[in-house]
Amino acid sequence: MGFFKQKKHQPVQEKVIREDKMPPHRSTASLEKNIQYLQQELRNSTDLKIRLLPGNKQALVYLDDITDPDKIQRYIFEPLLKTEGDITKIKDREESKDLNEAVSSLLEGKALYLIEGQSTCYFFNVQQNVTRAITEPMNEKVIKGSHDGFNEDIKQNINLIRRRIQHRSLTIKKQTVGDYTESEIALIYVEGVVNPDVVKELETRVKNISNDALLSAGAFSEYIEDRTYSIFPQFLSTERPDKTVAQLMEGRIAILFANNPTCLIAPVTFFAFYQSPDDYNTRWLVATYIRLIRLFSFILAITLPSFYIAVVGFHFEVIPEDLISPVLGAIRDIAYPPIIEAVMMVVVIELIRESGIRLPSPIGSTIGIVGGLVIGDAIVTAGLVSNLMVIVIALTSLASFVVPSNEMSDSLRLLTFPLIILSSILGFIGIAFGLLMVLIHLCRMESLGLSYFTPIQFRDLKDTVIRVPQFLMKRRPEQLQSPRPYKSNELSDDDGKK
Amino acid sequence: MAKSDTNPKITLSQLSYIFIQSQVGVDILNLSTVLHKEVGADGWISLLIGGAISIVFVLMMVHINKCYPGEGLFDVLRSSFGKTLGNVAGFGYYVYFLVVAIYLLTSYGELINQWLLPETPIMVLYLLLLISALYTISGGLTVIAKVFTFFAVILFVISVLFLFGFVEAKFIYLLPIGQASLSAYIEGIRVTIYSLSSYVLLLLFLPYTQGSIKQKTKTLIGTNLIVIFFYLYTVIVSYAHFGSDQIEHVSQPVLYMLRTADSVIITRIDIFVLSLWTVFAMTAFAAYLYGAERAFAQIPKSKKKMLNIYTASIIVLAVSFWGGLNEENIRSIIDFQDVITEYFTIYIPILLFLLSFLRRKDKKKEAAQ
Repeated sequence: MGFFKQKKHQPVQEKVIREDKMPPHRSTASLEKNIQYLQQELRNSTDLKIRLLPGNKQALVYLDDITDPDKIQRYIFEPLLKTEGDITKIKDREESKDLNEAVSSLLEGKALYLIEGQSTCYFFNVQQNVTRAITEPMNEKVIKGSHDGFNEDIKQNINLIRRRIQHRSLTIKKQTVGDYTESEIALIYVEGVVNPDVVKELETRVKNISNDALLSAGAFSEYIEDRTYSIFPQFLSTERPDKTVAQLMEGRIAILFANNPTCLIAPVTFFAFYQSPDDYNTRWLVATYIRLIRLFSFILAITLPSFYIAVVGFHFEVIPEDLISPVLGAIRDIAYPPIIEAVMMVVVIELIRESGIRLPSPIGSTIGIVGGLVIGDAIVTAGLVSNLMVIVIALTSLASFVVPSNEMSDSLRLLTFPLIILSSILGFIGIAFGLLMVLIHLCRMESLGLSYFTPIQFRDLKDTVIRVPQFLMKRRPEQLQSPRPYKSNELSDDDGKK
Repeated sequence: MAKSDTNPKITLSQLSYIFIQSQVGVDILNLSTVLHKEVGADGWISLLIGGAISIVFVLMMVHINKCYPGEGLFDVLRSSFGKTLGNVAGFGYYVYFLVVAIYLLTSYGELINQWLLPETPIMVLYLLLLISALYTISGGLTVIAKVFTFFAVILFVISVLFLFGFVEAKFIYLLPIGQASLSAYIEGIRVTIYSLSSYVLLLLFLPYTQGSIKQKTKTLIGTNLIVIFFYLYTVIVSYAHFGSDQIEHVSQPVLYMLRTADSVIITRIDIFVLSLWTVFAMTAFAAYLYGAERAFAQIPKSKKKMLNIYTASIIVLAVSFWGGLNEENIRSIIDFQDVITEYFTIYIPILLFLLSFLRRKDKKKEAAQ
């Protein structure tokens, strides 16, 4: 068969060396040569500023756009005046004789001080910090509870976490990923609470990422998740520090990204996507009620359209007698089969949703209302879709938005399609098989090697389907196999008996 | 060869859920009719006696497991019968598991064909059930345990739905007691034991379960009691609902009972129960298919797990399709099953139990230490 086998053309490409792994390049005593090397390495970028000081014996080199002129004045020139030009007397400086290190420090926002006749370079940190104010994340609002959120500055984000867990065992491990971007990521966990095997697993996975650029948390999660082909999200992403800290204290790991407000949390269970910080801030009975509503909405979101299609198409006898004539009246004059109706309506809702996101908020909400009302009304009067189907699909998408996690709600909306198709072929049996497959799939899934969907057992019930009062939740979730299974030093069991 | 497996561990509760799910198959829907045919109104008494005997069998299984620590069904067969005979018996179990799987598949297909989807090609149903079972099995023991545990909720839901049967129940139908002859009782007990016969599968799961022998014994007895009471519950509900005259002529009394029940929100609860029953059909089928896969792994020296499953499932699918809705072919499958069930669920387990006193390995090990 060698005849058919074509040799794959392997493109030639140069290997990119990460900045922190550059081989050293010794600096020379000549100021001009050093500057030339820097210019050449930084590709003669125009933002590379070289300021020759009076006498042309010393030069200050920095990247104009990422340094703060104020800091240059305060940290370099003012002390220089005081020490009468002797750079070695200034504190807060770093020294090196490696020009490649100098390049990477320039890229980090440091200023470089070079002297004619000396091969030592001096660095000063004059980085300009551009940060957004701490605001509540738009997509995860709560009624009660703290209203701060992560922003793009990883230092500030770690600050928000450190302030909440003031203990020495809070561990922060920083790493960089991406050969060009060198994006900084931070793995955060509480030592002694987290399962060390899981940390090891995550670290090896992160180490194996090889990529030029790592730009978003979503892309990152695709590199390290257990099942890339699954429809369900395997990392809980949040922009809320309080949620992150709660998960850290359960024994999970948080991953923060530089220049990204999203924090990924792993390992997670399916039920974590249905928990909101609100639940722990309200009366437990109310929280339980809301949890149950969410669970109901989960079932509704994936089965309601298919249930309706199955009833109309296969099992009309399920409808109680008094309802038969209104239902029949609604669907009698519709030209299309229910599955076409359903798909049409789902697509309309998705269109309205998607256009609402992209448009600026004042117009977005208007489009939502106008689109919803006008199209919804017109599509029924035109006889394309029955008004029952409009109710069904509207309820379904409402239910899918109840999920506190955005990704999970997207997954749910996608899941309705296979169920719609199955139910239009096999009726209730189709739905049964569809749900069976989904549940088996959930049972098979793992998050960082720990099970993703633990079947509901009595002990797990306490903080999943319902929420019991705090004093009854004495154990950490079984799934995590935490080395500290109890939440307090008192080793009393759940019902208070010793 | 089972020793080369990486020992996957399942917990005690998972073991009990596996046991429940592998027992509750499609049979229960017409268990009441069959029992009534054999024993008359005393059917539920023979069910209780049969249940008690099945507990004895469960205890025997635990004892065998204790005597051959860490050995699965096929190693136990080899240890007790010798290599050649043991392999023959292993092959016999392979055939037996396949036949039960085929029976479960065809009876599910027939049930759905009769009640819900008369027009749908039966092959579609077979394929769907097979795919979901394969999807479960291919994940290994831990996934099987998790899936089975999760679906145990359905048993609870269905038990609640059966309460509708009590609305028009007359308990006088259960009387008089003790009218049937002894041979009728024995026949009824036999039917009961067959419908509880998945204790044979226990030897596949017991070596991989955490916990001491005492804990396992307790769990399994409790589980078996739950299943027996669930059977008893269905039988009594349908007896009390229909009475002796009607029940003879109804093939799935439980479903008919729910069909007539009226609820406010939905009518025809039977359709829902039937759809939910898909779960039991799948789990029981998956359990036996898993047994067949394990058995097949012993025959040729193939270590490719999925290949074993595919071979098993192709055989199952082919025979089921041949049987399909054809009365005659199905009859011959069931007859064949009846013949071999007796050997593999009653005689061989008893033989294994007796041999275990002679050939036990746990005492030897202790002596060696």
